[in-house]
Amino acid sequence: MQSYKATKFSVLMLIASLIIASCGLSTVLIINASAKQSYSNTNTLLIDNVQYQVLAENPKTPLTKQDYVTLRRQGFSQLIAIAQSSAHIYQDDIRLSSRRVMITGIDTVSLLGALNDNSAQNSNNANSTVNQSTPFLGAMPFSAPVGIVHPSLLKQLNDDARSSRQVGGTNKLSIYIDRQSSDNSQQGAATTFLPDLVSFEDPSLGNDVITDIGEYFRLFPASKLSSLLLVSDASGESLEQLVNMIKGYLPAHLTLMPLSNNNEQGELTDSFHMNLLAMALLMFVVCLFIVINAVNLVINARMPWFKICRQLGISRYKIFISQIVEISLITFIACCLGIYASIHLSNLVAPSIQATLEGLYGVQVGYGSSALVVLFVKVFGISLCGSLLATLAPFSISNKSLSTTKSSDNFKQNERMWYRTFWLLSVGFALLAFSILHFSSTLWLLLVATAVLILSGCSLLLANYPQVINGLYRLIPTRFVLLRLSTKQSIALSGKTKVACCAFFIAATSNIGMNLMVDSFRGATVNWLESRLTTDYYLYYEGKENIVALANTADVEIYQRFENTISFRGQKLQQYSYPTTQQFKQAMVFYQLGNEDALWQQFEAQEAILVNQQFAFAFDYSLGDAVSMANPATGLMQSYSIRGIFYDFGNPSKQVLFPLSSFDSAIAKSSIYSINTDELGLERFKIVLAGANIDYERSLLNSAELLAISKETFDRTFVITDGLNIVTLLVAALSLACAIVVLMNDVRPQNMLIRSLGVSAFKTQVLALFQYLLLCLIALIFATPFGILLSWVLIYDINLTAFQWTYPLQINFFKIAFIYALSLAVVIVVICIPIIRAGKRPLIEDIRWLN
Amino acid sequence: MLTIDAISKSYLDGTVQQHILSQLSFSIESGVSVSIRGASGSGKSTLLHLLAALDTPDEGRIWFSDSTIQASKLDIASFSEAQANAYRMSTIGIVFQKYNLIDVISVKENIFLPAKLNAQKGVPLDTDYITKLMADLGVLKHADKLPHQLSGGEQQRVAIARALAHKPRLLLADEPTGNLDSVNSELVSSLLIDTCSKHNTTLILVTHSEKVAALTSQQVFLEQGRLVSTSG
Ligand SMILES: Nc1ncnc2c1ncn2[C@@H]1O[C@H](COP(=O)(O)OP(=O)(O)O)[C@@H](O)[C@H]1O
Ligand SMILES: [Mg+2]
Repeated sequence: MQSYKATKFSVLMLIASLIIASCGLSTVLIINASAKQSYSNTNTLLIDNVQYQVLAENPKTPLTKQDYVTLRRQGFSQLIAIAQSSAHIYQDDIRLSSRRVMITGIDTVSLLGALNDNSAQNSNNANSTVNQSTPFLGAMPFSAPVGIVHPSLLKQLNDDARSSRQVGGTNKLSIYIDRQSSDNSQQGAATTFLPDLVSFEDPSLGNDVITDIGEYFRLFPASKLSSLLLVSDASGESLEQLVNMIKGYLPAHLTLMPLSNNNEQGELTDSFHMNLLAMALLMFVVCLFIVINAVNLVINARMPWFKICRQLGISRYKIFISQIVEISLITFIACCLGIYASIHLSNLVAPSIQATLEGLYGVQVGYGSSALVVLFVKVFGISLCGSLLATLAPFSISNKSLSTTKSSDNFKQNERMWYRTFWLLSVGFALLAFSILHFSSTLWLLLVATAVLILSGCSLLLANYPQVINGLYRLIPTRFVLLRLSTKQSIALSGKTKVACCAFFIAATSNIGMNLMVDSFRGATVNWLESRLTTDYYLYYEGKENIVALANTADVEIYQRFENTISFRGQKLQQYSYPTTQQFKQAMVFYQLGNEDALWQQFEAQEAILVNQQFAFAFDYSLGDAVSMANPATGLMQSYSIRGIFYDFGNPSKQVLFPLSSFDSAIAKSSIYSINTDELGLERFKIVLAGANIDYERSLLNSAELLAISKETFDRTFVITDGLNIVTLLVAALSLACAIVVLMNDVRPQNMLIRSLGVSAFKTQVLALFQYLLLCLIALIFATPFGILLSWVLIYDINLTAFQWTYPLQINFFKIAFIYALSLAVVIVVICIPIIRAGKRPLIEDIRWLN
Repeated sequence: MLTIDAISKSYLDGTVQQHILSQLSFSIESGVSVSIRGASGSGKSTLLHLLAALDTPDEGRIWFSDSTIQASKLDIASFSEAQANAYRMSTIGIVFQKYNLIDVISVKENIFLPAKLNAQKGVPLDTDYITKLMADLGVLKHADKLPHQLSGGEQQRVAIARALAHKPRLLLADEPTGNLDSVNSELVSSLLIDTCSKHNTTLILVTHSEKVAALTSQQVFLEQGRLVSTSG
């Protein structure tokens, strides 16, 4: 088929849309893969066959080295100690990574022993098994301590170091740790250098540095053991035996627990993946609309060719096959380019995605090794299916018109049939969507429901296009002849641009829905932050010094937040303290509350508690319910009544607030202190802090700063959403432009006629633009209620299911107007090109071409 | 009213300069009907396009004068874009071989379209005249139909009504019946010629049919870019 010349534009469009589609899809797949890999393996830390771990019952009585030694002496050589701390990494006082790096120490010598024991029981070939199950040991030479990191992290650190290094600096990468957060006993001592970093490719390595436990304690001398991993090949009964045996020997303050799969986080990130995947699919679908259009265009242009081929005796089947082969080839090329682009793109957006995951979901993100072949097979498979599907529709039409001479179908009846079909479809989709929303609380079903909801809107739009335009037509005074004519023409246009209009509607709906949701969320969060950040300063400190006492010597008003984590009905639950001064009472932002005066009275009397939405929704509690849980100080079960449910955005955990008096101040942990003071008081406090060797530079923040940081993080988080929205819109506009190119030939005679009547070329261009803008405007008007509905579903259903929090929907009409303007602007920019191109052609050419 | 003064038009066909019209001159009186015949490719359409200010000649002038509107002569060949648009909108009517109607609006709206466009420019809309025109052309009963619901002959009659609706001084018709069978062709053509003479509109009609040409008051034959014979 040598007909590329005539259809260059459409083939280009076809390739472009396929590239965009495959690029978007594979980017999301890469991001998904990396995020998934990193958190799912966090707990096993490169070691296979770990199913249990020993943990301290209570932070008051931590797991000590002595416990470890005792247990190992008792013969439990399968227990391997690990210790973890997070820290920023610096070079010459310049922070290298924006994220904290998790530094993990593993007792490698014992681990090796345990693995050898295991394999000795199972096979003779001990060494190979050891290396198979824990290949990272191979990367650790025993001669010198090293830290194992993922190549991507190493590269990132190196890059940061290079960009921050002054000219003439040392060549050797010297890194030291800021130990302020976990250990301040040696403050003022020289910097502690990290061991040499060795890169090691493993999907479970994220933002981690793995090192031997000896090295770890050199870095963090005051750190405690985190847990003991039970490394054992045993399974079934023998494992159970072992577990029971260990349980029998464990001292009272330790427990043996199955290694959790981190359920909560799993759910959260799953919802994030769903989110991303849904958006990618949306984009993909819109791209498919373009493909349909482009294929249509190609076929239109080639119709004479096909006819000649048919006349030459080439069977329809052969033509069909040749076209399919061609499309497949184009898809293949586009997929290659798309995946290539996506790898670069995902590297580009990785930091912002990581920020999202960490900021919003509290998930550790790593560097996924993207298996190129698998990725390619996946993307190519989906793209091919999509493009073939998209191709089949126009082809079946072209086949029909090849076999039969054009039949003049009954226009009016046809229209009425479409009208009924679309109405039926719309109602059907709407019913389906609402029944799913009503009866299901599974996340993916809810997402399907939203998709169905959008489809319902789509059908409704298509069913009502002619009616709405006709209504508008009647409103236009008869004086405006051309305007009326154009309005009439856009009815016919709407019938021919169904696909493009749908794409635009979907893009507009999701745009409005997403924007309203994000805006509501932003509004609620900022409100909440502004209210909750009530005191003047905040100090983050996890060390041993008594900050409250220090503050008292500086005569500064301070409130500490006691923290305790317990297991409640099988899930992690935060028990925090909350001050009951007037200031703090006012700062609380409630989703629901009972009588406010009684509430605080009962709260102070330790009868009532406040819970966050996450807690209430997860366990299905409502206001006034009684909950029985461990008292944070005594650990004894006690019954509390829920008197308030508060907003707690961004917290993946369930949380319950108690008064300060519920905690044992001698042993309860605190990491955040709220401070009320003036400038002078702050200076006094700083002096006191410095006297106690506490580095306050980075951990003492004023509320305004904190608020600014939070807002900034928030905005960065939603950059991705905004970006995807714009891309979807652009793709939809492109699809419209594609449709215009197809239609330009259809409307050519009419334009020719109007221009031969003496209407200027400029006027006809403006009228053409008007027609398409009218279609878009109507699509936007239809998209508005559906967008609002979408944001409602997102906030009250999907958010609730995914994150267990919700917030009031704020409908910002300025925002909607802005989206209108933006969408129309995008459309104008994109469709102007073909319209102007058509208008530039001298009239005489059109006349000659047509007559 | 129309004086064609030594116009030439040529196209570059590859590397060869194709002279379509060379030094063509003749004049047409107001109110007469002229038929132009000639072999395919002889330049009939080209000439008509020049007269409609859709195209410009390489050289020569086309003088248009109309005693009822203005005394001075206008050179169509040197019209600006805006002048050409105004000229096509108010002074002339055009009927093509096909694509004469807009298919999304009714027959009546099609016919009224040029008149309404002129009404926007301040020319009063003569509804009675147009209704009578429609009756004369036998399309009144189809007024509310859409163009594609009519037969080919009916569509061309609607096109003639549309071209005459704004009372043009000059009607240019390029093979208006080229797509019709011979019986219909003669019927529509004679209707066209009659209607024009009835409203005292100058008609220039390109046709292949000798029979049709015989109905006009002046006959022109184009050959190799020159006028071969005029009669009538
Ligand atoms: N834009 C153009 N470029 C080159 N040749 C053209 C162009 N327009 C018309 N011609 C040539 O001019 C000649 C006369 O065309 P036309 O006036 O349409 O003839 P007729 O209407 O008498 O059949 C034809 O040979 C045609 O090929
Ligand atoms: Mg011709």
